[in-house]
Amino acid sequence: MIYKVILLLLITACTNLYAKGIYQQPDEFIAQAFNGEPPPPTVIWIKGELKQQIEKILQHKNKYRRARYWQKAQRSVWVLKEVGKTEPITVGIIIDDNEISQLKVLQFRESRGWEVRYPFFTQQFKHVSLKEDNDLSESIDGISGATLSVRALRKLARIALLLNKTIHQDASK
Amino acid sequence: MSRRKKPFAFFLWHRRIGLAALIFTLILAVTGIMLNHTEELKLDESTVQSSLILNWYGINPEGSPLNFNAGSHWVSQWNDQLFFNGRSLYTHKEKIQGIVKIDNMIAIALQNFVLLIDDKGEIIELLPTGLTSAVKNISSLHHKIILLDTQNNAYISDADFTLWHKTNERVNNWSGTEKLSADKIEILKQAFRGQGLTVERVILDLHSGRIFNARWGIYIMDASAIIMMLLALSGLWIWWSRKLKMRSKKHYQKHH
Repeated sequence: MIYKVILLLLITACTNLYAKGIYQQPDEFIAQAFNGEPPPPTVIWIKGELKQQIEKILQHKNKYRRARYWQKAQRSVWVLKEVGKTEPITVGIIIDDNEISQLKVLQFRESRGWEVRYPFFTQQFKHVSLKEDNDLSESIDGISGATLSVRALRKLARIALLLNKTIHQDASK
Repeated sequence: MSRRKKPFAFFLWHRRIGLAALIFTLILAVTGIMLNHTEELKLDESTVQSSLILNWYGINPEGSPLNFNAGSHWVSQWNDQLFFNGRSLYTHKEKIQGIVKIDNMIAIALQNFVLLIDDKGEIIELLPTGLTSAVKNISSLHHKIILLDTQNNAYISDADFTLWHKTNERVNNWSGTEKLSADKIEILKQAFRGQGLTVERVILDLHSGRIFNARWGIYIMDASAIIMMLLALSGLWIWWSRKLKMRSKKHYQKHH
């Protein structure tokens, strides 16, 4: 019996160790998105109405006043962070023609909710765009036990699409 | 005679134990309800400001703070906490290497990042330097940031501070530490302590008993829980024995 308990504890500890970590460096993700030839980064200032819209999505004050992105033709790549429960989750998002073509969890620091990194979950964001009310065009199914991480990823997807929309609007002015 | 006294003595002990466990039962119940609503009550976002509790936890920064001045502003670091004019700004494990003011922005050099803030202390961006060696100092030139790495190579940023290029520009005005007054150290200490302990931590420790003592505090709450179980059982026993007594009394009255 005692061995079974020890084994169970070891499995739990290993799962936690496996769960937390850096799955891909942001630089690698960006390079991969542009077939090894990433453009130089550009910055977008988060102020005025854009700041309000982002804070409405986040449901808290936005920490940073500037976001960085990489753009070539209709493709833009964003590396954004949001706290799940206590630690920030780093997510890479590729947007093509105002639709998400890839969302990937790059770094996960929380002790729970790491299931959001798996493709069975992140694939739900593929071809998702932004509605008029800044909500996602498709519903994203949650994962039990990972509610806060799922919520953080949904927020980041909405923010990336909103920022992408803003840079295209600014470019067309 | 002794047989008649027993139930009464048992009832007395039930009452005494109940009164003794009252405080701990209330603590367990109230903290339990609070922990069930951590998010709604924002316990994990609120920090403890009470000196009494902070002293109880022994929360004090280690060593002495590091400080840099930029005009009328002062940027300091104490352990992992960064402060802007004595107000908590950011948490980062890397040590501040210097600061520089460019227009209405302040660039804070860490070993592998530059934290860019505005002159009101709002964070603009945490910029990764991407340099092969750690940064050891910072300066500015023509509204751009200059970084000096540990190999004594200087790098200049672009206008947006997103890219870094090696430069041979001669820079003399490197950033340097400045001493803090006793008043400012006290301000930093207050700010540091305020960020160090969440209300959720205190409630959790109250619930588990660890707040009383890190080692044997949990046994106080264990004992309270055992007492509550005993109370439930003794209460049941008292109720059952009274019921039996009443039943036999009624039976006696009916037949005699």
